Amino acid sequence: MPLTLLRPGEKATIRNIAGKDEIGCRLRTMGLVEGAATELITSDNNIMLVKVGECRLALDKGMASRVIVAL
Amino acid sequence: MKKVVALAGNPNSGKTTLFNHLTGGNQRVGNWPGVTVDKKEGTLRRNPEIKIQDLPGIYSLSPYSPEEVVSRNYLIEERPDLIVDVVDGSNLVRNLYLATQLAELRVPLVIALNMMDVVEKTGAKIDVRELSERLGCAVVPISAARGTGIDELIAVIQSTLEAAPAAPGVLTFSPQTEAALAQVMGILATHTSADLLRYSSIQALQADELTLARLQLSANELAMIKGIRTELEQDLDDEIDSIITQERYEALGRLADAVQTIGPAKLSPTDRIDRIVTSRLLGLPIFILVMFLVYFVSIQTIGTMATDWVNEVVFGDVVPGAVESFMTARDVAPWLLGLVNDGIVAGVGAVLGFLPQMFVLFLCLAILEDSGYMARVAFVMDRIFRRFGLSGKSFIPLMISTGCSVPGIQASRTMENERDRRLTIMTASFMPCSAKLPVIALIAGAFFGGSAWVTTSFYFIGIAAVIVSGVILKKFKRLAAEPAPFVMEMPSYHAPRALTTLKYALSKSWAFIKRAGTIILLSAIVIWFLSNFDWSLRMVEESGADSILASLGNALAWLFYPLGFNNWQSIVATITGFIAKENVVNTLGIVMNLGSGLTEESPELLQAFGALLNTHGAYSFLLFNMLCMPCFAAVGAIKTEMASTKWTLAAVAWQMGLAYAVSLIYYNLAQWFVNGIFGLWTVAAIAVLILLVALLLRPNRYLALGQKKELVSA
Repeated sequence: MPLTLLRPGEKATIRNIAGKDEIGCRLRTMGLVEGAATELITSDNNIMLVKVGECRLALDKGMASRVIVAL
Repeated sequence: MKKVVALAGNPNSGKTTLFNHLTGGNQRVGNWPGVTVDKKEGTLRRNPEIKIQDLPGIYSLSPYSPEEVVSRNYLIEERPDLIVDVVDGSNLVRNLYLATQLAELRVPLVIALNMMDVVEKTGAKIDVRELSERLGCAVVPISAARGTGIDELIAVIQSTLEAAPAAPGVLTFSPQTEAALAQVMGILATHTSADLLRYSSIQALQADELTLARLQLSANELAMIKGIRTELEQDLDDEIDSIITQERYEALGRLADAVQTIGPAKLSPTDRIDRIVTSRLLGLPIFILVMFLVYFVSIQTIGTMATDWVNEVVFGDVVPGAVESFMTARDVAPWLLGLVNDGIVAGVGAVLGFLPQMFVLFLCLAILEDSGYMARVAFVMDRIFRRFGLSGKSFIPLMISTGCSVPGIQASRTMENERDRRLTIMTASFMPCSAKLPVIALIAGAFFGGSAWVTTSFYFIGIAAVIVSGVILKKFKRLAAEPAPFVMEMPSYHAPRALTTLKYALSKSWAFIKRAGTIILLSAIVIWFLSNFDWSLRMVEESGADSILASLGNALAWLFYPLGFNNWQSIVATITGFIAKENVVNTLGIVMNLGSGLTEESPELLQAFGALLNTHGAYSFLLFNMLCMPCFAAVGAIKTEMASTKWTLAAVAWQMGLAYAVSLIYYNLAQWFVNGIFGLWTVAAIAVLILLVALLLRPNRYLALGQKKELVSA
């Protein structure tokens, strides 16, 4: 399921990042890669704060919806 | 020959803090990604033969924003003698990602394993020797914040430079990727130096446009590389960027497992704070409260008490009294006494009087930056800004602009999208900077009883002006674009360090004093002269109404008549404010001849000013001065960042136009509603208001055009 469906406090593992463009590449270099552990900290309609590994990333929903995770 | 050591690393990994330790320098540090937007140079303490180069933070050697381009170009084109990669040990895998790319540049590498104090606190352990062995380069554990491990690092830097060591080991990809890479290396062998061959081949395989442009390949060679890429993608059933990144991270994951033991998992304080501070419900109210507190503390309470004392005692009695007795005792000409007391002391003193407020303001801003809250502001404001087509990221430049627009405008470099960046540059100076605060405080005190709301209103007016500008300007072809997707790293919170914040506030205050002693002093002398002499260079009466300055001001009165401040004093104050905003207060201090006692509660000012303006005129004067063209220094920063005279002129024209429109609307409507005065200018004000609303509401024709992805050019 996409990262956007996580609830605050839920932990998941990243499975895939959709998209070939610059943004997908950017997300990967920032540590959003297959197998990375992630946890949703806060979110609202537009933007969310997620923990990936040891770092915290703020992502807008458009980007977050391209990150596929599994609980 | 001098040896060059470059500091590279992820944003907010502590490069500049380390740079300051190594060079004894005093570069600005902060707890958010993107503090350093340009490269900075220094020499190693006790060894001037070694040059240290601080670079903006990068996540990888594929840049996305202009300040990242700076780092990448430097590392590839200048090829330093040694790269010190500053690695945040508490976030090892992500930080070592860059190290694997740096190793491919074939430049000697030393890893400064930073934030070891944080690592120890979480109970984690890193086997430094094992890490060094596996990476094939020296690893030195340090804590730049605490200043530990620095001597060891310096020793390693020096010995590594002397030994001229081999370059670090490079990461080996999967057999399939290595095979593809070998083919690309075969093609590129004649196009690049042996040192950069592997690096260039990986980048070419990833279709990195900057690299491909640099290599100047033939169409045939490009097609061959494309063929190799497609074959590998089909072979591994993934696309190329993902393959390369994934393989790097997999290797790093194995590395981390071997060298790192993680402490017991628990919810970190940062996450607990973030649950509240960035929450949907409380995020915005907390931000407003924080900002109100900052300005309440710096302007209303602590700062003001000190400022009043400085104004009333130091520049009110002590200095003018001492000057007068000193000068009369030596029979100095009256005009010279006038120049010193009514010109320099009144003008520069009026500005210096605000030093305590400024110091407290800078201290508060430094605390916000150092604690890590600054980055959260971008997060909290994004949900509001995005609604208006702006990115929350532009809020960091705006926050910095509340201290000074110049670094605020420079901070816009961290924005990836060129149109967003231009818009931020054009609007950053709408925020009331520290030099504008004395102006607000003066008028608020003279006309509005020092109300806290007049002062804070200008922060919200500033934000509103940014939003209005964003909505209107985004409808023009050259600025139309959806804001770039938002992705930003949030730093960990930590308690603000006393030394860092104090040093920052002191250096800013010192810069303010230096300005007062140079440009403001010079302006004060010129203003005093122009306001005390007429065109035939005879000294004029006290009121100054026949002076050169008055006639210049009066010549422009028609322009400001519709705004409600058509007296020459406020006009020349506005104009001298273009040199530096402190000059507004400086000029008023001199031309109103208020040498002794220019404080907010001073009855002289109230009377003198009250005779010139009504309260609406005063607020209109403030509105214009807050929103119009910033000082020359800020315009210079706009020009540098825009790298275009045309865009600079457009920015100034927009600032002037908006300031004029807002003042016109406010003054004339206020006069109509409150005082019942309706005239030609009221009609004009209504017309301008309708025009503004129409510009705000008109549909955006260019959005589809603007959505085309823009590439950051090298």
